[in-house]
Amino acid sequence: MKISVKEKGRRRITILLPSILIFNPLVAACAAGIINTRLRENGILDRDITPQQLRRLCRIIMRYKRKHPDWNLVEVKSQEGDEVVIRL
Amino acid sequence: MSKTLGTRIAEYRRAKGITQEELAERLNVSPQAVSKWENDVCCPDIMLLPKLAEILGVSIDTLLTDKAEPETRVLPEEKRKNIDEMTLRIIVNSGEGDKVRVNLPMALVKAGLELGMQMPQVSGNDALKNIDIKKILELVERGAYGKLIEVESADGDIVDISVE
Repeated sequence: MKISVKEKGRRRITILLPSILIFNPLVAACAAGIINTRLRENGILDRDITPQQLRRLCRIIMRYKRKHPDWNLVEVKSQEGDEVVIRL
Repeated sequence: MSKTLGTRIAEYRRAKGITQEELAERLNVSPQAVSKWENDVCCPDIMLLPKLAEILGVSIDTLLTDKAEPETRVLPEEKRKNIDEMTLRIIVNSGEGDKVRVNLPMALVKAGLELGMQMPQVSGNDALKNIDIKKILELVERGAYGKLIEVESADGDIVDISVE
């Protein structure tokens, strides 16, 4: 996964994260609790996400990444010229 | 005057938000080759046309003849893609000039739906708070393709949702 941040007039910062380190069953199991706490705090979801569901999401993302490497998941361009790109 | 193939490639590429380098990489050609196509110095190899059209999200007919396709179509069953291979594209152009583009694999949207996610959590925009993702999924399963929703909020935000 590649997160690229560019502020207008500044150098682009690119953070490279190995996707398998983020989207793997172990992280899914550990992160489920933290994600649920945050989601409840912000009132985003009314039910908990189970580690199994999170594992499934990870599997889908990794499968998609293998099929479409360098897939631009999110691109944000602000009016001031700042740019954020999250690439799978 | 009708547009040239090069102009059409450049327009569709820009509309997709793809750079010449990205397009070249996906087609296994050099960025210079893409530049030559777009400047009408030469044409893409005929064997590359299906992949090029797929990447640009148009049919080969549209790419070669500029026959505009309707923005929204209902595809017959034999032409429908596997829903898990499709992409939900959300484009938000805010009134202040910010642009957000989210390209979500449909498989991920389906999984998110099972988790109970709703549109504002996906797009981050309140203009879409009454939109039911389930209905969008149903439309796609019935063959809807292209631009499905266009919302303009009172603040001047424009949100497009399309399926490709």
